[in-house]
Amino acid sequence: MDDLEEPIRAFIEESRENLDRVDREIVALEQSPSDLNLVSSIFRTLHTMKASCGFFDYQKLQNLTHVGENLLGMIRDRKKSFTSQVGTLLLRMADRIRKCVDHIDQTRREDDEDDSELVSLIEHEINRKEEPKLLNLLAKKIEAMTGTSTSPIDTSVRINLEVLDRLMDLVGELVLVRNQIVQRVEQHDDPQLLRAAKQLNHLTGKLQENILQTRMQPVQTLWNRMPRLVRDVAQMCTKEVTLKMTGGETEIDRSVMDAIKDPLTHLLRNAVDHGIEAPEKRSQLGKSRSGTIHLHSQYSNGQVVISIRDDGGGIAPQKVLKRAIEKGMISSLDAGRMSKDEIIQLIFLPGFSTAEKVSEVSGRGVGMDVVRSNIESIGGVIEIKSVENEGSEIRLKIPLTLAIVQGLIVGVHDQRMIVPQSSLVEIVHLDELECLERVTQIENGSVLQYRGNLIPMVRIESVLELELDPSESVTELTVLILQFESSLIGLIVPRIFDTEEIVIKGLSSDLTSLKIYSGATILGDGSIALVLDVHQLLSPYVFGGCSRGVVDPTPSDSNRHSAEGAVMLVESAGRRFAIQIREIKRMELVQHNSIQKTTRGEMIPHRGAILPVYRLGQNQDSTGNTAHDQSASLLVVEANAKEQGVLVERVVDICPADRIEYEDTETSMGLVDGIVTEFISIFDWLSVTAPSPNDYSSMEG
Amino acid sequence: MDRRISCCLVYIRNIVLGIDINRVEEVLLDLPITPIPRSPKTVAGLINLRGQILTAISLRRAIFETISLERTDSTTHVVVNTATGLYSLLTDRPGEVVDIEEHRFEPPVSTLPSSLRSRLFGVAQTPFGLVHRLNIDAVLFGEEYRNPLETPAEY
Repeated sequence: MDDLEEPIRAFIEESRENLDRVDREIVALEQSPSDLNLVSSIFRTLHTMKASCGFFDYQKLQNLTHVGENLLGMIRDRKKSFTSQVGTLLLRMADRIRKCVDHIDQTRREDDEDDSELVSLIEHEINRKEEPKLLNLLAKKIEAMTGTSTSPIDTSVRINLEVLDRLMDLVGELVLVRNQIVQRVEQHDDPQLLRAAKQLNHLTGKLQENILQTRMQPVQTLWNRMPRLVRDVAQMCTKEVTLKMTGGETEIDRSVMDAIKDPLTHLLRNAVDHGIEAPEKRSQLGKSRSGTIHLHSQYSNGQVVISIRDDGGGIAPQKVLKRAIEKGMISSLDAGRMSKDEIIQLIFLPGFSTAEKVSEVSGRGVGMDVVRSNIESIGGVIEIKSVENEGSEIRLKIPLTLAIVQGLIVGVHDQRMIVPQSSLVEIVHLDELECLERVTQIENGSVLQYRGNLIPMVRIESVLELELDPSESVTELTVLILQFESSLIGLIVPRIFDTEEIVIKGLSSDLTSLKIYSGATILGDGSIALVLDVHQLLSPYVFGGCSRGVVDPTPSDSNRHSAEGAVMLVESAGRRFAIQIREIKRMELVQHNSIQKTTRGEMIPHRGAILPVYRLGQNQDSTGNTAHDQSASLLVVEANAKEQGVLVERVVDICPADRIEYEDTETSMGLVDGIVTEFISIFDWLSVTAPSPNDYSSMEG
Repeated sequence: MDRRISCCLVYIRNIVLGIDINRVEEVLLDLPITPIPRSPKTVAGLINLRGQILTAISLRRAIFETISLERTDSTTHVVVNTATGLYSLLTDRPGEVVDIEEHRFEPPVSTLPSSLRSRLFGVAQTPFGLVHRLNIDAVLFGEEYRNPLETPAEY
C-alpha cells in the first residue's frame, strides 16, 4: 500500500475541498432552488468523488456518493425538484462522507458506521413520485446550459506545506547571506561587484516576496464553510439569516488562516444566536424578517481586516452592566463611571455571557475572551462596535503572515532581543525631571503615570532574571508601553535599536516550554536574537485592577472590594491598608509642611488648584504626630469628576490578587505577606470621612 | 561476529566520552553562543548553524553537576541528530573517531557520579583511555528516556 500513500493523501485533501464546495453549493441551492448550474456542479463533484472512491476501493463512500449522485441526477433531469428536505439529506450525506474521510485520514480505512439508514432515506427520496411541474421548454433550455460546463482550466499544482516551509527557511538564509555580502561589498571600490551585489539584493527580495506569496490563500477557502454553518445555526435557533460575503479574494497566509478559523466560526455563531432577533420580533421592530450578516475582508495598512456585521439587536449596555455586576466582575461603583464603549468591552472578560439561557449554540460563558486571546496570540486586534437595536460590528485586524513580523530590537547587556511591534503602543523616554514627576517608586517596582492611568513598570532585566545592565541610566528611563489585553504595562529597557522585519524561527521543545519566548531570529550580522512572548512574559506583572481584565474565579458579591485584581498596600497611622488600584487616579510625593489647615479641613495646593486632603486611618482633627518636613504619598482619587487627596505615610507595594493569602470578607481584614491588612474602598471611606459627603453610592444607578 | 561501534570521542576535562558516530552530524569549533535568560541550567544557549537555530546543551552542566562551569578556549560543538531535530553538545575539546568492539563495553562503575552513570550505555577500556559511551537521548531528554534498541543487549 505504500506506493498508494501519496495518492490517498491527495484523495483526502481533494475530498475535503470538494465537500466544502458541496456544502456551500447546497446552501446556495436552497436560496435559489432552480439554479441548474449549481445542481450540475454538485453532481459533477459527487461523480468525481465516486470515481476516486472506486479507485481506492472505499465501498461505503462509493455507495453514498452513488445514491447522492442519483438524487442529483433526478433533479438535474427535472424529474424532481429541489426541496429543503432534499437539501438536508444531501448535507447529511456530506457530513457522513466527511467523517468517513477523517477516519481514512487516520487509519487509511473506512470506518464501521452503518450507512444503510441514510442510503435508504436517499433512495426513498429518489423513488418518491412527483408530478412534473416544470415546462418541458424550460427543461430543454436548461439541458443546453448544462452541456456547456464551465470547468476552469487547471493551472495550479498541489505543494506540500513542508516543502514551502523549507523554501521559506532557505530564502531566509539567503537573505542573511545577501546582507553580509552587501555590507562587505560597500567597502570595496569595484563598481562591477557593487552592481552584482545590488542585483543580488534585488533578486533575493523578489524571491522572498514570491515565496511568501505561495503560502497565501484567498480567504474564500475559509468563507466556503460559513454558509453551511450559518444555515445550521439559524435552523437550530429558528431564525432567518442571510449571509453576505464579500472580499473573499483577500489573501492571507495559511498559518493565519488556521489561527482565525475557530474565532471566526465562534463570532458567526454568536451573530446568529445572540445578534439576529427571532423573525417575529424583527417584524415587530419594523425590520425585515430575515436578518443579514455581512462578512467582509479587505487589506488595510499591511494588515487584513475581517469584519462581521449584523443588523440584529446589538448589545444592550444595561444588560451587560447588570450581568457584569451580578457576576462580580466589576463593582457597582465602577459601573457608574464607565462609558458605553467601555461597558461593551466587558463582554471580553472571561466567563461573561449575556445569553438569557444557555443554548446548544452559545451562551456557555466561554467565548469572547477566548476569541480575543486567540486573535491576540497571532498579533491581531479585535474591536467591537454595537448600537442597541441596530446591530453590531466586530472587526478583526490580523497580520498577513505569521512567518514575518515587525519587531523592535532592544538591547540588554551585550544581547539583542525582539519585542513584537504588534503589542507595542508607544515608546516613552523619561528624562530625570519626568521621572521625578511621573514615576513613583514602590518597594518592588515602580508605577508610571501615563495618560491619566497608573501603569506598572518592570525592568526587562528583572523579568528575565538578569543582573542590571551596568550601562543603563538610573535617572533616565526608556519605557516600552505594551498593550496587554485591555491594560497597559511599561517595560523598561536599557537600549533600543531599530524596528525590523524579522523571520521567526521556532525553538526546540525544551525552550518553548519556558513560554517566555515565541521564537528566535537571525539578525543581519548573523547573530541570534530571541523573540519575547510579551504576553507570557509580563502577565505576572500586570495590575488586575487597572485593566478590569483579571477576574477572580470565585467572585463574592457580599463584598465588592474583595477578589478583584491587584491592590496597593500602604501604611498609615501604623496600620496596613490594601486599596484597589483602580480607585487611584494618580500618586504623588508631597511634603507634610505643604498641607494647610482651613476651616473646611486640610488642603494642599495642587496643579494650580486646591485639593482637599484626608489622612488615611487618622482622626481628621489632629494633624498626626509626623514631623513637618517629612514627605508622604498623596493618592489622588476622582469621584463625581472631583479630585480628592488621600494622604498615606508610605506606599509599600503593588500586590496582585493571588498574593493575598487570606481575606475575611465580613470584617474586610486579610493577610498579605503575613501582615494583617485592612482592605478598604477609598470611595466608601471618603464618603464617610469627607465633611460634605457626596453620596457616592447614588452614582450606582 | 562482534559488532563494532564507531564513536566520536570528546573530552570534558580529562574524561573521555564517546558519541555514536551515526548520531553526529558535524563537529564545529568556536561558534558564538547566544545565552537564553531563564532557560534550564543545562542549556548553554542558541547557535546559528548556517541559518538554522540550534539549542546548545552544555555537557558539563548536563552530566557533571560537580564540575565547575568555566569555559575553555577550545569549546567544541558536536551537532547531533535526534528525533526532534538537531542539537549541539558543548564539550571541552574534540578527539578522534574510533571503532570499539561492542563486547568491550561494560556497565559503568558505581563510583561514577550518578548524573553521569544514568546517561551512559557503558564504558570500555581502550588505548585512548576509558571511553564513556553516551546515551545522548538521555542527556537531552532526561534519564528516563532510553531507546531499547540502542541499549547493548548484554553486559
